[in-house]
Amino acid sequence: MRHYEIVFIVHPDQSEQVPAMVDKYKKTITESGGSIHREEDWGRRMLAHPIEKIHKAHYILLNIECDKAPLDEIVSSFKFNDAVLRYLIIKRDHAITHQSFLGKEREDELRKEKDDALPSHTKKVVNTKDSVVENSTESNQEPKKEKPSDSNDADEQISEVLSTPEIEE
Amino acid sequence: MSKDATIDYKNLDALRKHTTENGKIIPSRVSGTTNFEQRRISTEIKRARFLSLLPYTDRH
Repeated sequence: MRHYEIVFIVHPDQSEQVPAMVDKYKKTITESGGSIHREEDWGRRMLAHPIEKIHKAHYILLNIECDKAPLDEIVSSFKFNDAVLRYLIIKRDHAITHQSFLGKEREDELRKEKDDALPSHTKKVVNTKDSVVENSTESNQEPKKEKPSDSNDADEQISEVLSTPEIEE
Repeated sequence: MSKDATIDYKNLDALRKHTTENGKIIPSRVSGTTNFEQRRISTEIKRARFLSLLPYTDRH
């Protein structure tokens, strides 16, 4: 078993398929006895230079531990999938579970968007919740596995807050 | 010196400090970076370029 870091870029028109693709890859890894240590969705980013005349694309990061066979399977599916514009696979010495720089950037962006989208009277509520979440993630830096669930909770909370004023209006 | 986790192809702000305005890698001769660090920085910049996180030139 080796540790690998995979980044792949998906055509923006196929963005909706991304969760299904990731699930499929995760399934092939776990079924062969491997494990997923980190999973990040950087969303649609502007490309620094066009690839196949495309200027925006969807980025996914996976840190996995698996044998060669499942990795080969994933690589071949990258090659035969026209939606995957590019992929990078790096061997790592150990499992990397902490949030990456781009993952953090993405999270900050999402948080900002949510804040901006909210009407002013609900803004305060979310801000306090956000600060609570921030504190909890900072204190939980040692047990890193808890982090994703924390952010999911925060997302749910925010989406609840988001959905209620819309209904009122 | 131990491996510095901040030198990473995902840490774009750190890598941008080692590129010129037109996207070239700044030589260690100019920046004074140690050979050990410069080798890592250059591979990470090249990874970021491949993933289109950083430009190769300013003429794309």
